[in-house]
Amino acid sequence: MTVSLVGCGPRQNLPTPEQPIAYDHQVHIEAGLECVRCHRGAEEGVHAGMPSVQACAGCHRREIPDHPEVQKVMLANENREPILWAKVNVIPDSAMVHFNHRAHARAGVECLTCHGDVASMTVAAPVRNVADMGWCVECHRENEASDDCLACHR
Amino acid sequence: MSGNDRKRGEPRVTIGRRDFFKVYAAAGVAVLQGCRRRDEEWIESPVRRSAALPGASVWRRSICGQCGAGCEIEVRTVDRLAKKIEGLPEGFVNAGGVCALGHSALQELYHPDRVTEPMRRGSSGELEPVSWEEALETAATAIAAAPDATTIVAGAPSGPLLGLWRRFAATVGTSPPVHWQPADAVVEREAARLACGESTRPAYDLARSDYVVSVGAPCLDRWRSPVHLGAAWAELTADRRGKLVQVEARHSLTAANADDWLPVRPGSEGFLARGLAGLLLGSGTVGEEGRTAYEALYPGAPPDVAATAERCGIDAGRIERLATELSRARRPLVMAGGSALEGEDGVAAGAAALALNLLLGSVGREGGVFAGVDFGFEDRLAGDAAAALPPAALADRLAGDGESGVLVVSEADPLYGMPGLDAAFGGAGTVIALSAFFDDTTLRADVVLPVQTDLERFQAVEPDPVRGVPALLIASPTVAPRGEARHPGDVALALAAAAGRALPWPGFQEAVESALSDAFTATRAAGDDASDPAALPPSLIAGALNARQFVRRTTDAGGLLGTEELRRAPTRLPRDGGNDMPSALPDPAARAAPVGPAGVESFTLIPFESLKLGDGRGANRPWLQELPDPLSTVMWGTWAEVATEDADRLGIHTGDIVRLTGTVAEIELPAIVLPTVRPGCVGVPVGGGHADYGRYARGRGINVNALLSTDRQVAGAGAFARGDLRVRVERLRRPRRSERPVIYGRGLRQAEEIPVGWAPHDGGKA
Amino acid sequence: MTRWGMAIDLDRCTGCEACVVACAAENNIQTVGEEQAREGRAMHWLRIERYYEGEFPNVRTRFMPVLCQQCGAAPCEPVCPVYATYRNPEGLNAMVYSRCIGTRFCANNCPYTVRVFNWFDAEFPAPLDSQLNPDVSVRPGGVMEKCTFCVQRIQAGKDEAAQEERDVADGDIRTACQQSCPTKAIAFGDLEDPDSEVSKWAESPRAFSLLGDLDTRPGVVYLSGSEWREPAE
Repeated sequence: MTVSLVGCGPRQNLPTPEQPIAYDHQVHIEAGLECVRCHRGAEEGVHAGMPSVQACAGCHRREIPDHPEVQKVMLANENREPILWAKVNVIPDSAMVHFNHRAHARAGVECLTCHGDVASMTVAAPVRNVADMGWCVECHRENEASDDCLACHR
Repeated sequence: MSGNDRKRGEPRVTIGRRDFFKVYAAAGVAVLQGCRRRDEEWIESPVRRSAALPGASVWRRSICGQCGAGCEIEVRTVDRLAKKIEGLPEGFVNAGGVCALGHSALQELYHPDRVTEPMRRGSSGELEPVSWEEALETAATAIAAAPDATTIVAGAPSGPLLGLWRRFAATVGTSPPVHWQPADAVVEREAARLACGESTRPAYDLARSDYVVSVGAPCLDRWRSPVHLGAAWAELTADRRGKLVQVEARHSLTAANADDWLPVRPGSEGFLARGLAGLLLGSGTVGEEGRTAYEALYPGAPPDVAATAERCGIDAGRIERLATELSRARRPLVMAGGSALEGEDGVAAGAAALALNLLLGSVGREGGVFAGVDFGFEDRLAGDAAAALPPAALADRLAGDGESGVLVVSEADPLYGMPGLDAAFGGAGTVIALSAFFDDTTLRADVVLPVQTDLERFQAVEPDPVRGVPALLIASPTVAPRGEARHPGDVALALAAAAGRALPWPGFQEAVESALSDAFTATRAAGDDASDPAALPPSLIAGALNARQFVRRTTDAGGLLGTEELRRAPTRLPRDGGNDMPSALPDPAARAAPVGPAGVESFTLIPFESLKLGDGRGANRPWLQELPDPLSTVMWGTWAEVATEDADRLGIHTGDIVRLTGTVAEIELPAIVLPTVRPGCVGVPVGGGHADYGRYARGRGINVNALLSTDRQVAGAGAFARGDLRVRVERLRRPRRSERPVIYGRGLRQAEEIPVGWAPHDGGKA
Repeated sequence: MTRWGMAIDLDRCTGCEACVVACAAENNIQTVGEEQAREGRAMHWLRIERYYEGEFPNVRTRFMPVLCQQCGAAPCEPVCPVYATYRNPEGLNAMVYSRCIGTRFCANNCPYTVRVFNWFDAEFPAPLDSQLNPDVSVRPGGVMEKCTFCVQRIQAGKDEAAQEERDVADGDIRTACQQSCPTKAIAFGDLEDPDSEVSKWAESPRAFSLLGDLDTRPGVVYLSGSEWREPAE
C-alpha cells in the first residue's frame, strides 16, 4: 500500500497564505530552476531553507528587473532587509517537532509526497496537513522508519 | 537594538519577527483578517548568501577572552548566530575543556542590555547616542588638550592588546597605562621576582609532580587557568598517584578537593612556609645546593615548629607531617597565590612559599617550577614604551590629574573593584569608557565607546604562562559585531589618530601582523644567535620564505605554538649583575602577628572570587547568577560564610542578616553557616552588588569590595590589599522574605552527610 | 541493540560546574530569576551535590553530579497518566513535552529528584534568544522536563553517520556535559557495546549505581574509590 498523495487531504482546512511578494513557482521551474537551487538544504540539509535576498536579486538583476513584484525583492536587497515569507506547510511550535529534510531525502521520499506538485503551482499552497501526526506515523511504520516519539519530538 | 543595525546588512533575526511583521502590516501586505499570526507561521529569507546550508552548524575556532588563560574554543554558529561554546580538543591550554564562565560568553554577546552604540553626555546630563566620529572627536579633543593629565586604565590581560595601550600612551604623551588586574597576579609576579629572579608568574608542572603544596593558590576555583590546572590536578591524583595539599584559611573549592587541607590563620601563610623550611633544613634530606640557595635568601633562623603552629593556628603534628611528606616526595612542588598573597604582607608570604622550591630542588625540573615564558608580543607592540603601572597607581594618578584630568578606561571596572576610588573619580574632568556594558565605571563616563565582546573580535592573545611553554594564539571573529561595537584596539588607534598622534597601524589586526613580520625579520637576522631578545626560536620560522608568508601562515594556523623544549628554569641573575635584587628577602616570620580591635567580635574578612561571578565579570549572565555555588549552594545573591562555632556563639542561623563593619564601610548580607569555615574568619564572595551592569546584575547582592580601602596596599607590589582585613560581625535579624538567601536545596536527601545507597552496577544488562 | 549510558568518575570531579552551564546552553534551559529560584523552581537538569563529612578542621567534601539516571525500571514512567514519559528502545527515559499535561506525578516519584517543572513560560529577552539551540524545543509553561542525554546530539550523530553511510562509532556522540568537563570525568556511549569507553568504565571495580538498592537499574554509572557505598560484605 502506498501513502495517499496529492489531493486526498482535507484541503478546505488548509488555507493558502498570502505572501509579501507574489512569487510564482511554476514560472521559475519552467525557466529551468531545480527545487534545490533555491531550497538548498532540501536534500542535503536538515532544513530546506529559503533563498537569500541576495540570491534572488542576483538573478533578477538580469531577469525582468522592472517587474513590480521583482522590484520588492530588489528593494529588500538594497535595504539589506530579509523577506518574511508566510510558511505554506506549518508544523506548529507547540508540536515541538524537529523535522529533518535530508533524512527523508535519504529514504527516497519525494518532495511532492508532502508538498504536492509545487512545480505546477502559481501560488504555493499546502496539499497535506503536515502537522497531521497520524499521517507521519503511518508512513514511518510502512517504511520501517522509527516510530519512537524522540525520533521527531524533542 | 536600533535602526542602525539594518544598514550594516545583518540578518535582523534578533529584532523579533513580530516587529518586522508590523512593517508589512502597515503596508497592507499579507494580513489575515482579525487574526494575529504567530512566529511559527513565518519563515525568513536571509539577506546574504552563505556557503553553509540553511540551519547547518558551522564551527568556528576562537580564543576565550573571559580571563587571561587563553583557552581555545569552537563556537557553533547556525545561520550566523552563535549557539554554543565548546573546548577545542587540541587546545593548547585547555585540551577540550571549558569552564562555566567561558560558556557564558554567549550571554555576554547576546545580553539584552549591551551598549551597542557610542554615547556622549549631553547638555541635559544624560548619555545620548552619537556617531562614532562625534564620540571619538570629543574624546580625542579632551586627551589632546591635557595628555599629561590623562590616565589610561587597561583591563586586558597581558599581551598584544596591553602592548598597544602602552604604545598609545607613549605616542600620545600620557603616563603609562594602569594595568587593572587581580591583586594576586601583581603580587605573584613580585614574589616570583624575589624568589626565582624573574618577574613573570611562574609555571607549575602539576601533572608530573607527585606532591603539590598550594599555599593559597585556588587552582581549582578561578585562578589563572582553571581548566588547564583542573586537568593537571586530575593527572596528579589519578589512581592516587600524587597528592594535593591546600594551605588556605578559607575552604575553597580547591581546599575541598585537596587530599589535605591546612586551614591556617589568614595572613600566616608566609610564616608557615618559613616554619616548613626550618623542618626541611633540619631533616637532613635537603641537598647542599638547595640549602645554599635558600639560606642566601633567608639568612635568619627559621621559626621552630611550636612557634609556627602557634602563629598558624594549626596542630604542630600536621605541620610536621607535611614537612615529612614533602621531604619524601620524589617531585614535590610548592605553588603560591590567591588569598595568601592578598594581605599587606603578601609579597613576603609569596616569596617565602616559592623559595621552598629552591630548598626542594624543584626549580626547572620535571614536576617542578618553570619560568613563565612568553614570546614577548606585549613588548613587540609596545616598542620602547614604558611598562604598564600596577593597579594601585590609579589612586595616585587620580589624585594628581585633578579636574582638568582625563580618564580613559578600557574594559575595566575600577570603581567596582575599588569603590574607595569613588571620591577621586568625582574629581576627574572627563571620563571615557570603552565598554560593552554600563558597569559601575561606565555609568560615570562622559563618552561611552562600545566594544566588541570575545566572539565578535579578532583575537591575539598570549595565554597565561602556566604551562611554561610560550604561545601566541590568534583567531578571527566568529560572528558579526552587534550594533556599532568595535574592537578596543581599533578604538585606541582611532583615538590616537583623532588626537593627531596616529600610531603606525590602521587596526589592531594589522598591528599584530606587523609585529609578527618584524619578529620574522629579527629571527632571520639573528641566525643562530639565541641571545637576541627580538628573535623567536628559529624552528618557528622554518619553511617560511618571507615575512609576508610567515604572517599569513601564522594567522591561518591560529598562532605560534611553542614546544616543551622551550620550557626553562627561571634564571636568577647574580646579585652583582646590576639588578635591584635585595640581598635578603623580607622574612614573614619576623613580622608581628596582627592584633584585632579589642572588646568586639573581630573577624578576618576573606573576600574570594567564586567560579560563578569571578571578579564580578560574570554577574551579568543569568546562567552564572542562577548557578548554585558548589560549596554553599547559594544562587543569585551574596552571602557571608560563618563557622558553626562562631554562629552558635553569636546566635546566627543560616539566612540571618548579619552586618560586617570595617574601617571604611559596613555591609549587610545573609549568613550561611558552614562546618568548613575556620572560626574567626568570614568569607564573602566578590561579584555581587553592581550599580548597573545590566538587568541580571543590577542591585543584586552586595559588593564586598566596599570594605576595602585605598590606603591598604600590598607592600612592594602596587596592589590594593584585599586580605587580612578585620571586620566586626553582628547578627541583625531574621531575613525578610525577599532577603532570604537563595539556597539550591534540591538533593537526594535534605542532609549534609554522604548518602549510602549502593548496588553493583549491572553494566547495562538490565 | 543500543543502550545509551553514562559513566561519571567521582574521583576526577572537582565540582567546577562547567557541565551545569554547558547543559543549560545546549538544552535551552531557562533561568527562572531570583524570586522563583528562592521558591525552589530553578530548572537545572544537572546539579552538583555537595556532601560534608566530619567536623572542622577535619572535614571531607565530596561532589556528585546528579542528572536523570535514565533508569531501566524508572519509577517516573508508570505514574504518568498520558504516557508522556516512557522507556525508548535505546534505553532512554524519554520525555515528550507535547504530550505532558503537567500532573508532576513523575517528579514526585523520582527518587533522584532530577525532574523539573516549568511553572511559567520560558523568557529569553531578545537578543538572548539568538543563542537558543534550534535542535531543542523551548518548553512552554506547565510541562515537565529533565536530562535527555542530549537526545538531539544522539539523533544528529545517527543522521550524520547515515549520511556518510556508516555506523555510529563510539565517541561520535558526546553529551554537552561530557564535552565541557576539564578533567574528563564523564564517559558516554553504548553500554551494550563491550568495547565502548562507557562499558569499560562500567566494568571498573569502583563502579556503582546511585541508590542502587531501589533497583531502578540506572543508565548512569558512578565510579569512586571512596566510601560512597557500604563496605563490601
